[in-house]
Amino acid sequence: MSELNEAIHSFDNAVKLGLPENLQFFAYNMQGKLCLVLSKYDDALKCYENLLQLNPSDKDALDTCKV
Amino acid sequence: MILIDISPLYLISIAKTLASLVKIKHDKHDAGIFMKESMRCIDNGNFDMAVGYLNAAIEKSTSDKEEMSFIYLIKGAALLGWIGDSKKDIILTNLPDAPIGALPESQEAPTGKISRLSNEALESIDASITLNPRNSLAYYFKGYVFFFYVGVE
Repeated sequence: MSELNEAIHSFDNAVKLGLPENLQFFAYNMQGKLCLVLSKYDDALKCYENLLQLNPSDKDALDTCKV
Repeated sequence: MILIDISPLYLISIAKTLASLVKIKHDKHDAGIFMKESMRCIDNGNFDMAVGYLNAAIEKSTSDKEEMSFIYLIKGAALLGWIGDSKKDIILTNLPDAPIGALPESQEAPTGKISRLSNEALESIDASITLNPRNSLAYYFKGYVFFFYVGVE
């Protein structure tokens, strides 16, 4: 599981350091998926909320936030 | 234990996409010819050859730290592609009645090879971050390497 946490941390760093917006979308998407695998539901929700700010019509993110 | 099952083709596709994100001015440094060849190999899916060219580029390059950081990033992407190829080898090896010539020539056990390549990819990305700690793309790549590391174990 530590690798998954490292992955989340790395994507987080990438966004904080000014990742281009189109890649931020994928970073939040990956982070969200990883948080769900690790049962970190609150963190996953934050990721999908950030993702929705970039793309308000993303169906997967909308569905996950509803759940 | 496999937590996340990642198809080899998806892995190869991500590797090519990641490599395409890195923009290097080939003519800016002495190792330009090796860089050009490595990018051609990545486009064609010859990831093992690409890693060879990238190692040569790293050895010969006189680029600044920022550019070297990007060369290590491309190497990380090429290694991810190589992992994808190795996963294909495992699938072929396990197919019943695999046709002659379909099996990998390498004598190295595929699972051991994947573990070694994953570690090399991580080392390459870490070298990239050491050279330029503000390189957001490097952290983005690192996230993928850790994600795939779990997926291939």
